[in-house]
Amino acid sequence: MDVVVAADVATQAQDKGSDSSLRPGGVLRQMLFHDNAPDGLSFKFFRSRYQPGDKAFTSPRHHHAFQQLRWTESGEINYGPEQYIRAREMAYFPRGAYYGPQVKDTGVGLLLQLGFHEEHQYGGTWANVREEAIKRLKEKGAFTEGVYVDTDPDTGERRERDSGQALYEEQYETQTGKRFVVPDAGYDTPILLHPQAFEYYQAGPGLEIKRLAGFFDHPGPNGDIRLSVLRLSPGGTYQFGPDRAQIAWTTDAGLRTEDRTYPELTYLYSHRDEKSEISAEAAVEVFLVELPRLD
Amino acid sequence: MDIVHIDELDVQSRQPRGREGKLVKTSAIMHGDPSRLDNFNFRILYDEAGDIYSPRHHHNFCQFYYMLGGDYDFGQTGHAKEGWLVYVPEGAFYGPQSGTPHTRIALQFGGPAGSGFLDAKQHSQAFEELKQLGVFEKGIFKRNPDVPGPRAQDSYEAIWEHVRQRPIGYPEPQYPNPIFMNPAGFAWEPVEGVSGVDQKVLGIFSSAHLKAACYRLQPGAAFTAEGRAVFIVLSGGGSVEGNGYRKLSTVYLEGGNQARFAADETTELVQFGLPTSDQIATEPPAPRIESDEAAYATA
Repeated sequence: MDVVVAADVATQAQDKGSDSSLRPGGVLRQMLFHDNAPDGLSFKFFRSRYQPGDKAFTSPRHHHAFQQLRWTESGEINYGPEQYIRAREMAYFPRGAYYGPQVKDTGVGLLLQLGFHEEHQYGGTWANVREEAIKRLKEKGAFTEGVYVDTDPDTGERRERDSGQALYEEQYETQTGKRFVVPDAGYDTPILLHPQAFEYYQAGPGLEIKRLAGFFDHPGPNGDIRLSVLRLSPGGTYQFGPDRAQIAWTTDAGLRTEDRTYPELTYLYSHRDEKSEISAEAAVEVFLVELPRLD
Repeated sequence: MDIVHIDELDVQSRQPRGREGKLVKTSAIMHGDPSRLDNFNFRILYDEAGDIYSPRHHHNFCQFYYMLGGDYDFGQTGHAKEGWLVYVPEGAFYGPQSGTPHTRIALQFGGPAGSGFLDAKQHSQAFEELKQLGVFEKGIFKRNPDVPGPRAQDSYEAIWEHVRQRPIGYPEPQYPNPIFMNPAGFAWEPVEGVSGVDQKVLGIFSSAHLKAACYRLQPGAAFTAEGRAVFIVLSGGGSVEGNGYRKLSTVYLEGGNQARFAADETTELVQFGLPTSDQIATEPPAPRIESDEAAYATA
């Protein structure tokens, strides 16, 4: 199992990276985990500290072919007009569902983006074409406030697209020669969850669980993403099984795994086909995401 | 197992009880046991005028909707279209609701927080009694000056308190907004080990793990439904436990029961999961406090 602690992870400002032209903002980001797994699952999981004023992260109303999970550590984080994820709440952003426009200018939160194959074009072979695609897009048009503006080659008319969408379309066409299409949404809107409104049930000695929801943006017996919260007390253990990749995090100090005790703001990635166990030196609340698989 | 064919039911035309609108046509499909916390009310509504209006409000029970035809607007919380399912969690605010002409199936039921669900007779009787104490306007009950209680109150809430004779309580919603599902956006997948049957699982919701799903049976295929739930035949024909089924036949299963659907024609079903008694809190939510009032008593 991979384990990282927030205090040990480097912070990068959004407006300093190579993708800074895509979205406005100066978000301070820590990349916690990312992977392109052998089964086609691709994800990135990062912690963001949003900045006010000119450094606020903004994006127009848009959608993605990948799924997202957002969790707010402190403050409240906007995701649309009058829509906020408050501290210790989470929201599931379904594949294909439109959301925004959003202005993220306060708060600290976690963001997990995940998808299979071309749904989430991150790392791997996509990294090889990313810079080239951005360069080509800049030659044909311009990124402005999260919107990519160019001229439709078929009609000759001005065309506006979400910046992220334009990049995905360009990358996909470069790789495959085909047009990239975001699948129709099964769930129409982001789904906000209140974990605090669920009661724990006793799942074993020193282990309590809240099962929050299962969302089925991919078909198949393991295509769902499962969201839970665990509470471990001294003497309790929780096993990460090999069936699925899993992401977990805690804000509490005292989580233990592989003979080491971790401080507050610890993040876990248990790979598929891996078995891991966590326990606790003190009462620890752990948020758990069981990632989908297609087989 | 209970089975009801919607096309055999009487259709009542009546004024909406406590909501705005000229006339609503409705048929009661099934109901549960009002003495139990898992009571439910299952009905079909034909809003031919498209003029039903509800102010922004919330309930102390859960709901599933299936849109058979037309659209139904949930205000800032969303818009349900033909063929869509909607799950409305207990405690979640939604609306104001207004509709173009539409037909919907509604399943209302006592949720995991343990408030139960009023039965239709109690509801109707309280509505008539409250009309002696005030007026219902645009989904709000306004008490006469000499009648104690809130001056303006959500109509269902006033009815609930009149029946129960105590302040209503709302749970903090596990999901604070309705969840809108378009089955066309989900892919069919084979049901493992069952030839000729495909499914779309749309979600597992709430601490009661309520399952929303669609099933498709090819002619000659059979599917065994199980668990406490309501199943609606959207199309096709065949038999279930010795009873013929057809479009808009509905089946209710108690927890631990099974029902085998055998298809003569290609059949599509939709499933609304219901909580079992052990998934429902025995202590209802704390009664509302006066400061809650402004949140729902204004249209």
